[in-house]
Amino acid sequence: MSGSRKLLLVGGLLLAIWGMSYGLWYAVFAEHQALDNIGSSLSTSFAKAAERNPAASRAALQAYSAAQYVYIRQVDAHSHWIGLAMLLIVLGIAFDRVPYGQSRRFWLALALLLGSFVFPLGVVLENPGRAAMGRALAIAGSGLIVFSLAVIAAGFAWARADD
Amino acid sequence: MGGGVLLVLLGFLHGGYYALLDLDRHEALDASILTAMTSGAAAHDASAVTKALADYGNLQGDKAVKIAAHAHVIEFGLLSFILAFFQPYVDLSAKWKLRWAQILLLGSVMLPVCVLLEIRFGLVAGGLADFGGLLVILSLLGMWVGILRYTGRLDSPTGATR
Repeated sequence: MSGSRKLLLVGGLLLAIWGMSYGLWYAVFAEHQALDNIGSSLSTSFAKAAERNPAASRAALQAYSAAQYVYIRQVDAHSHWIGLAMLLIVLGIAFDRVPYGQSRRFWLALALLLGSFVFPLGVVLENPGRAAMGRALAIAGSGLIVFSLAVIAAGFAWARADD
Repeated sequence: MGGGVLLVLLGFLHGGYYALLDLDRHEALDASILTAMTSGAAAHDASAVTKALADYGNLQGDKAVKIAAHAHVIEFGLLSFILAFFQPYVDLSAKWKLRWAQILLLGSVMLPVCVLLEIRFGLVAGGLADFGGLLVILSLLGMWVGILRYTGRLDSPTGATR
């Protein structure tokens, strides 16, 4: 098995295990608290509005927005890690058919693996206070993935044209 | 295989576009619409509440179609890529195998694109999205028949397809 295939298959499996472990940790230790927080702040906001207390209602809505913001990113990171891991594994099965030299294929696989880890990590880190760093990581990671996929797609198209 | 990777790439580009241009706007709108809803309710302003509820419905619809398009195009890409491995076992002529692959890719592009257009063009785009889904189903059925023919040939004592 070539180094690039091994990297995609082993890296993909590890990434899937990482994504699932993260999801398990999140579900056990954080998700229920987050959902309780989202639900209770929303109901508090409506209750305060009914009591004609707009300041408290707005404060509760801000708490709802902040909790929702973090929750969406946590769940997105978890699902993207696993989805990208599946993509790495599927690509790994056929990666030797990409018509580039061993070295280029290895670098492509490495870029894809790195992007697949860094992009969801950046999404998780997009919390208030370090949003810029998280966003930069997410953009860099997704850039690596898009670039590698474009080169791989071009390779498949090239191979088909040669056939 | 190349088509599958292209579909995944398309899904990624759309996801990146959504994250950069729409995600923050949607989150800000979510908070502002809910604020308008609670303020309107507190002020007994039924028309403001009705408008906020309509805006909230539109926002949820906009979010839903964008996320659905992103997820579907990537899933169809993965499906196309995986199906490429099974093509040697699809016992159909090369011409028909190519036709089913093209129909699969056409439906895989048509469904998410038309889902995205649903907010603007309504039922017409929805109908076309459904047609795209039907094309995917038909192509899968076509390939399934080819695989049945292959396994049937293996199972038959003479090795010939009936």
